Amino acid sequence: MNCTDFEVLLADALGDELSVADRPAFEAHLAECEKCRREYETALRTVTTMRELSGPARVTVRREGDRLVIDDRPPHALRMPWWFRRGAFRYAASILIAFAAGYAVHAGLMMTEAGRPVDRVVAVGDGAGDVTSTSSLQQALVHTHVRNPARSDLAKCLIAMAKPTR
Amino acid sequence: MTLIGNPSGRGFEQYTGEVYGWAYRLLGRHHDALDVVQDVFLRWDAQCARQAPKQPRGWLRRVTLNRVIDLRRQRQRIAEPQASACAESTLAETRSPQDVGMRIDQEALRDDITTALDRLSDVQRSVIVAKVYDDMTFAQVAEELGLAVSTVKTHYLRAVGTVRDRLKRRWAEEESS
Repeated sequence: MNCTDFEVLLADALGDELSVADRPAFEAHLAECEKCRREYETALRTVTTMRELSGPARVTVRREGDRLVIDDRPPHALRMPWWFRRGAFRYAASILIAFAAGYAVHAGLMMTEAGRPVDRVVAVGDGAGDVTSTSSLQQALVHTHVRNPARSDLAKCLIAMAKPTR
Repeated sequence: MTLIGNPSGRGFEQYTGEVYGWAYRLLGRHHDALDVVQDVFLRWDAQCARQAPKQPRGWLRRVTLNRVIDLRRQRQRIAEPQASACAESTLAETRSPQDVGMRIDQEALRDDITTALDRLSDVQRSVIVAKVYDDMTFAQVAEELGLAVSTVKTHYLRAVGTVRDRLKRRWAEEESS
């Protein structure tokens, strides 16, 4: 293959349409001709760079009577749940999640303390009668309640919910 | 919500996503892309009232790219303070310093690519966008534009060459820094 033949196949190669039959000759020419190799590499880099431009999220379009309506919220807004787009809900949810995470971590740490067998909790009663069959999180909450009943309203609620119906 | 025209033409919903996609890729701003969509479909409406395009997708791509180039030219004529205010509002959408850096890079890249596209003919512009962004084959592009496959390949190579000449400066700057 000479450089003129290479030019003919260059568009195919850049467009990912080079045939299996032409590929070996094309690659062999690339290996032996410095000028053509440089041309191919810069052209390929151009196409790759153009593809780097970030694409859009899908817009939603619907017809209302004789009009076309496009949902023109910005792409990042389309991915958010409705409650997250309202400031008050967002802050309330953040606080609630932070509280729940902190509580769960705290309860988890208490569970790892040595010398606090679950059986001791069973004796307390107050809805914790079936505690040995409940989840570790519920057990942790019961521990918290036993240690400081005044500060464990959430634990009380969960214990009441876990209480088996008779 | 944005209300667009009074479409007597058919197939609006079918192509709106694509028109928005071409415009967004090259302009990088949601509301600019919507402006282009609105303009293009008003023209589509007028065109359909006269005679419906035989190749709607090809017609829409060509008109969209022309409108994008026009909008870029208008932007370049904006006075410097207004331009910097626009840039700040664009950057305000970003979340972190990495986002800001990436956004600036993308803006510069868009400028280079649209400047290069501005130098191409309508056909060359349509061919390179159809190949690079729509992943069409040469045969599909040729059918859409009513040209021979070999002609489409020639247009594609020339278009890539023009964009490459523009990007070479950018690559040289990147390598020197």
